[in-house]
Amino acid sequence: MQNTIAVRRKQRKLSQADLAALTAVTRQTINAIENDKYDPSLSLAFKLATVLETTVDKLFNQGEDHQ
Amino acid sequence: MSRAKRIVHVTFWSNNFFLIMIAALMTITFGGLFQRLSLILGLDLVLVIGIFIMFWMLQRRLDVKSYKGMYWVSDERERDIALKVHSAIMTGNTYFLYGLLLVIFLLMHFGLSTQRFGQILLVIVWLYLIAINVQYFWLWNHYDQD
Repeated sequence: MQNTIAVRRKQRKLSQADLAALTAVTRQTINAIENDKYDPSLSLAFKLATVLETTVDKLFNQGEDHQ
Repeated sequence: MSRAKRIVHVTFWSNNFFLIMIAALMTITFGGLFQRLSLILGLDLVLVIGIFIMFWMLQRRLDVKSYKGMYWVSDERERDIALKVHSAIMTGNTYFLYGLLLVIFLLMHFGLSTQRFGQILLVIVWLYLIAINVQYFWLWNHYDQD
């Protein structure tokens, strides 16, 4: 599942480690999500959306309308 | 490298060490070397040091507080990896048990002594323990890539 986490994270000047700490996961997990190697659970998706001040549907998409 | 991966690496090498110790114990048993007290004491000492180093690494260097459940995983992705790896290991275990049944059935036709029969089974189980240790390590590294 494609996502805009990396873009939104950089806009907020957060490192992968910062975002990992804010969402209580490892940096490797953030890296895997950003690189489309791991699909997060719904609860983690909501946490990411909250931290990045957006909504889950704006953060993730199936590919065709990727921002 | 993630903490989980580092813990898997430590346990992989610890398991290898313990399996070598078990092999040494089996050699002593098979070879009837019980009278070599210094050899047995030396092995015991090495084993105790090995256990101490393993726990020291896990508790001091990798901050392991408890050994309950999947203590080495830190989040959902690592839990996912653990489930994939464990599933593969369980499948392997099932095939191994079927294979072992077949081997036992075949060995019973050779009229082996109880001692020889036990030795062969011990070696088979030892080789299998080596195999699953390597399989676990390989699979974890395969799924948990930075």
